[in-house]
Amino acid sequence: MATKGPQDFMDAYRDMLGNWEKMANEFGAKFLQQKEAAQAMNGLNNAKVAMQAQMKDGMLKALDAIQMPSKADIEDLGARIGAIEAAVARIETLLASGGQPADGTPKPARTRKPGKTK
Amino acid sequence: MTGGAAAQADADPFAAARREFERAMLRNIKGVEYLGSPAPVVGSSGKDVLISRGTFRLYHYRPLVDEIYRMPLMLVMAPTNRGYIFDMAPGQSFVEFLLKAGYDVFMVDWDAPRPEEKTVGIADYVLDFLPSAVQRVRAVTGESDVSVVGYCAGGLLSLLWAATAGAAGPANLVTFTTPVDFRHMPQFQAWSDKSFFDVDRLVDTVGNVPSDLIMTSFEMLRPAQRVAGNIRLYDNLWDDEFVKAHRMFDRWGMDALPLPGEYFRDMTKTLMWDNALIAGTMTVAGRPVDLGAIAAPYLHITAQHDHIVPPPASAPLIEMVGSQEKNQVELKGGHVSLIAGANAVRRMWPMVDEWLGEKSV
Repeated sequence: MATKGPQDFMDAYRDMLGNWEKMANEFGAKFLQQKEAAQAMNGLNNAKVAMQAQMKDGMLKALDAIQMPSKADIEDLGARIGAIEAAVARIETLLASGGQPADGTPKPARTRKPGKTK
Repeated sequence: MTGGAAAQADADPFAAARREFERAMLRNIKGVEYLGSPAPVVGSSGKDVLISRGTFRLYHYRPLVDEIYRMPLMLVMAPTNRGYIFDMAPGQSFVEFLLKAGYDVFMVDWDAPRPEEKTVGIADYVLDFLPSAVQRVRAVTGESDVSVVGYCAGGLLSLLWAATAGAAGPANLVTFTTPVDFRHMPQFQAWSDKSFFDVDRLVDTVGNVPSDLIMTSFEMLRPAQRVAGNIRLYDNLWDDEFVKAHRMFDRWGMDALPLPGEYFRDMTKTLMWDNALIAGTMTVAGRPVDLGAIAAPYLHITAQHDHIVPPPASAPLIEMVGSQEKNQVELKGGHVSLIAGANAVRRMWPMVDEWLGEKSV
C-alpha cells in the first residue's frame, strides 16, 4: 500500500473533511437526541405542517368555490388514465401473443440448477 | 489517472501539483456540464407492471437468460422509498444481477399514496398488498413456491406476512437491515417521544405524512452528510463515475415517498412506542404475530455501519424467527451501500445468490 506524501495538501484536506463530517455527525446526532432539541424540532415541524395544511385547505376551498380541479385531482386523473392505458396495452399484447410475454420472446425453461454460468 | 501515476504523484510534489491543476480544470469544465445535464436514468431493466393499485405496484422483470430457476423471487421495497435502489443502472443493478444469475424476478414497489389512502395501515400491507402480490406471482409463474426478499421496512412487512400467512407463506425468506427492536434506534426514539410527539394530531392534520418530513428525519440522523457530500462532489467533479454514482444515490435519497397516515400511526404506536415485536404483543388486524411461526429457511443480513437500523436493532430477529435453517450475516457497509454500490456488487449480491440458488430449484 502506497503511503501518502506529506506534500499532498489535497489529501490532508480530504482527511480533514472526513474527520469534520464524522465529528459533526456525532455531535449533531447527540444534540438532536436531547429531549429539549427533539421537542423544539417537533414544535417546528408541527407548526410547518399545520401551516401547510391550512394553506392547502384554503386553496382547495377557493378552487372548489370556482369549480376548478386541484393539482392533486389532475395528477390523480392522469395517473388513473395512465394505469388504464397500460392495462389496455397489456391486454392487447397478451391477446395478440396468445399468452406469451409482452416482448414476444418464448418463456424461459424453469429448469436451472445452481452453478450454471449462463 | 492510473494507480501508478497516482503513486508517482504522491512521491513527487510537482506531479501532485500538476494532477491537482488538471483536476481543477476538469472540475470547471465538467461542473458546467453537470448543471446542464439531465438526471441519470434509473430503474431501466425491462419490466411489466402486473399490479398498479393506488400506492401498490407489482413488477415482473423480463428474463435475461433462457433457463431460469423453478422458484420465482419477489423483492419487497420499504414504503418510505422507491424500489429503483435495486435497479440503479446497468452493471449496478441487483435486479440485473439476479436476472443474469437465472432468477425470475418480481418486485413489490410503492408510489405516493393518494389522499384517500390515508387510511392504509400495516394490516393493509400485510393482509392485502403482499398476499395479492404473491397470489399474482403464483398465477403468472404457475409455481406455488415463492422466495421473498425484503429491505428495511419491506423486510419487516415480509416478516409480518410470513408469520401470519401459515402454509401460504414464502418458501425462502431473506431480509436486509430489518428493524425489530426499536429501542435501539435512539434518534427515532427521541424524536417520537410520546411525552411531546402527538402522532394522532399530526396524522389527523395531514392525512398522509409528507415526504419532506420523512426525508428530514433521515437527514437529521447524519446532519453533516449533505454538506460534506456536496463538498466531496465538487472535489470529484473530474471523475465521471463518481459524479454518476453520486447523482443516482442523491436522486434516490431525495425521492422519499409520503407515508399513508394510518401506517405511520401504526408504526409509531405499535413499534416505536410499544416495541410490540420484542414485547410479544404485536397484532395485525387482531391476529397475534408470532415470528416463531415462520418455518421457511431464513437469511438475515445486517450492515456494520447502518445509521438508520443499527445492528442491535435488527440482531434479535435471528433468534425470534422459528425456522430450522437460518443464518445471520453482518457485512461491511451502511444502510444503502449494503444493497447497492460497489461493496454490494462484491459482497452481498453473490452471497444472496449462493444462499438462494440451491433453494430455488
